[in-house]
Amino acid sequence: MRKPYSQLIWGLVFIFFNINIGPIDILPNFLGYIFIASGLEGLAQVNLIYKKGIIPSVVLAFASFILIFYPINTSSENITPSNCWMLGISAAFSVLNLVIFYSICKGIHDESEKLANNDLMLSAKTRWNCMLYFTCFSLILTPFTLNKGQFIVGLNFVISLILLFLAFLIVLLLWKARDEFNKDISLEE
Amino acid sequence: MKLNSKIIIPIVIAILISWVGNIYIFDKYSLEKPILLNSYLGLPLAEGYNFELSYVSNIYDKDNIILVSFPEINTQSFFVTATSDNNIADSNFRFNRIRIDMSTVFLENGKRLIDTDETENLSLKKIQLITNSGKKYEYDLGKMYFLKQQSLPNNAFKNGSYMSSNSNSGSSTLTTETDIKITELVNPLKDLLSEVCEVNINGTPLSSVRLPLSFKPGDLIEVKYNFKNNTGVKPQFQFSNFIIPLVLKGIDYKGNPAIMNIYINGNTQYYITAKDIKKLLKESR
Repeated sequence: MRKPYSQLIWGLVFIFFNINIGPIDILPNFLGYIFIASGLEGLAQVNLIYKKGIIPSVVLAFASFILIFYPINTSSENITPSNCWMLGISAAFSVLNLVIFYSICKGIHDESEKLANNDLMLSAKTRWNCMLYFTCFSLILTPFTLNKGQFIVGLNFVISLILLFLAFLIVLLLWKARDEFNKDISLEE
Repeated sequence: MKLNSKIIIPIVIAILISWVGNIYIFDKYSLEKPILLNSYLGLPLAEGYNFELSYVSNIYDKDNIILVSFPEINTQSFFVTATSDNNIADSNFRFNRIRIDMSTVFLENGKRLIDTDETENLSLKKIQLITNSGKKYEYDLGKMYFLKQQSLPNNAFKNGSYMSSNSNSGSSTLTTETDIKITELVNPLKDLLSEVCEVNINGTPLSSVRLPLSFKPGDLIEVKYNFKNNTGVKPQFQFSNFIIPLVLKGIDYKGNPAIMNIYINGNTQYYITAKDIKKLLKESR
């Protein structure tokens, strides 16, 4: 069962780390979501909770693909009263990402519980809780950037960095889960 | 790892309030058209003179002001130069400045405004701003006086030093070349001057100056000015740009006319804040 975890790890790397060569993103997000959908599909055979993340992954894969051709620019100098719905698209992405994180963390948590791996169980729970509350905090703060409070804009930037760091911690969690769960399977065999 | 509805429901409500509230405020304080800040200008109507106007626009506006016309005298639309723009802190507003060069103003008959034969000074109140998409906005600017250059012999005064500071104060010093009697202090923006500015001539307040004033060759005439604090100024003069001429007129010992223009410069628009603009918007609605 290493492959689905590896797909999830690569998926998150593709989504949260953007490396551009000129205008081209060599780690396109839509590919990341396809990896995630595929990884979750594989893990759904072990625990049905992973299924919860598949539909959001597929939706985001399509949306990310379309955004390659019709990019949205949510920088302050482009948002007007008639197009501020564009900010809602990034909020919708955050909410769907949150569902994906929930299914990953909940899946790891439940699997760890079965194997009495308390460390991994606690890590999954803590990281999910942090991701949930910081994402919600970011969703509350994002619309304040419309009105350009300097403090809010700075705070929102810090929250974005924290969310990126939490995504990195979930990648590490998946890495650890992949090793731990496969070690346990080998021992059982 | 179950989601606690007691926590999630208040968070969802907070998110909804934040979005609805911020979008409402964003829309409420969006400018339908640029705000032109008042200007009170008195400049010679001659080659080489230009002045700046300031306006506030939305930070996201791409439709900048590129053309200007003076509808009261039917000028052609003429290009203006954007000299600077900067975002106003804690807001969606941008402060812009444009420069108008009087030598580029043409009348409908194709003649340059500065080349007209009019002898009278020109007084204008209205200005039309035109954006790069062709939108036209007409404003009551404040007051603009264009002073017709007079070809009088001006050998009685010699320009001395001129100084102005960021605190809206300054001074001009002239030296008299001959015996001279100043008989008249002309100021087309007289009422405005007394309201916004304290002016002293050789230490005497302008309102207390008794004419004529006599000077001998080599005497100094020092005109000092100090703009009053904004809080003491009527609302219509706030955030304004002032170039107020004070013309010293007199005769020299031969009886020849002597004339010298002194310009009193003041800018209060540099201190405009997001709060000020929101207040202006509320007042205008």
